[in-house]
Amino acid sequence: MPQASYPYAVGRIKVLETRMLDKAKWARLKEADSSEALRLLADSGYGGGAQTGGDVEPLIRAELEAARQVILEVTPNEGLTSLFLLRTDAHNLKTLLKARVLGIDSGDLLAAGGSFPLETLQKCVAERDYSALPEAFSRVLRPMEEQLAQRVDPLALSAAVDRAVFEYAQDVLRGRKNRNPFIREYFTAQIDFINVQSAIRARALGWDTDKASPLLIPGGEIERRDLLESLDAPEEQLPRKLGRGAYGRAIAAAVEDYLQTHSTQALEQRMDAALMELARRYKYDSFGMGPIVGYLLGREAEAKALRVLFAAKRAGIDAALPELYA
Amino acid sequence: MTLGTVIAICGAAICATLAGIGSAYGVRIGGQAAAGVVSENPGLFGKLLVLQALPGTQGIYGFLTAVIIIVRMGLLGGNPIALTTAQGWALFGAAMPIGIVGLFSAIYQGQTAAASIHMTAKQPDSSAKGITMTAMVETYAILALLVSILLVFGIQL
Repeated sequence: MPQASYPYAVGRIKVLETRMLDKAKWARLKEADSSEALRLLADSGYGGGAQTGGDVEPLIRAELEAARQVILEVTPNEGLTSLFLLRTDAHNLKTLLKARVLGIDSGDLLAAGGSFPLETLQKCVAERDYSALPEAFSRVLRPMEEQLAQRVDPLALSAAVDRAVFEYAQDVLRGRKNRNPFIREYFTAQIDFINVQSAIRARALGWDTDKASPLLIPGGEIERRDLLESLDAPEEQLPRKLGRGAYGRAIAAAVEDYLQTHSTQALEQRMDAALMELARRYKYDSFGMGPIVGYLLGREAEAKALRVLFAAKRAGIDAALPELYA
Repeated sequence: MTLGTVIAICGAAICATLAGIGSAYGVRIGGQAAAGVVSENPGLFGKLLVLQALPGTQGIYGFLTAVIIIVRMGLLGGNPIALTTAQGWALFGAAMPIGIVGLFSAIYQGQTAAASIHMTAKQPDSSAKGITMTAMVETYAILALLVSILLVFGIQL
């Protein structure tokens, strides 16, 4: 039985970090063609011997599943750690809701490894009853279901699920045992970045404040008023108006990137880079959550980079890889 | 038995107890970190053992000081010196540096040892650096031990 202590957990994680793909392995993967890269990856132990079937996806899924299992096994605070699995729950809830609305089977689109059992999510969505999930989900998703009965709006549906997930995370972080500065900072920064992305998208679609307002998630450092005012503000004022809070500088730089390229991908890349930088700051904390969560985020970033790399190889193009942890 | 003798015995007992508690705690932290690393990489056991053991020295220093006080009081020979209250308090005070510094330095040394164990997990060749960094905390326990011993021997009985 593993000991629930930070020194033990971080000790295991530090060894596992050495098994992540290093610079030399990335260089070899970049140089190799698709099938050779897949062989190199499997030979390096990535995916734990999962059958590839000529595709990198089974390896990625196996490695992510192993990473999620190990952090939940070693963490002294499972409640806090599982907050970092909520992204999978959000994906599953959105997929299930959209599949129900469209009357199709969600099938292979669902992902394992969330905070809540997949069966629970399926039952909740099918019965339109979220009482089996924490209170924040019922609070946010019940009105969404009422709205959905009148009119189907995929964007509002996604926004409601995101809001439910972040409100649940904030409820957990309010708990006495969960006052963790790293995790609080991480979620606050994530909310700010997501709200800025929502505001920028709403602005591009020409939405007014009434339509854009439900997309905004409470709990960030950027005032709701500033986000809504940015819908009508001149472009040159956007970096100053949205670049608020602890990550104001990174957000302002992301908005400037967006204004030059008019691609929301720049915003997402800046968000990933800023959150990864935050995780790296807590990487050497031997007595905290930083290395445990950082390992999961590192594995997720690695998976994302592998998907980009193999997609680029298939398309025969060069692609810039996302930010990595190591 | 005089009040002075009782006070001196309390001093010896407290110094051995505090330093022992500190060492137990420090070794525990180091042990947890080492267990985590060894569970994934058993080959590092030898390198981590020294790091885990380092916070254990404060307990030895506390024990040593307590034994010296006991010997000076003549307790082992069955014919204890009748200490005055002032002498008792003097021996009690002499035992405190290693008792108190031992308690805290062992805990902090355990934390440094855990961090060094984590460093060794990532870079197995850096275990010697980790030992050096962890041993730096020991300096203050050694100074406290010296002060306690000099005081114990300096008190006229």
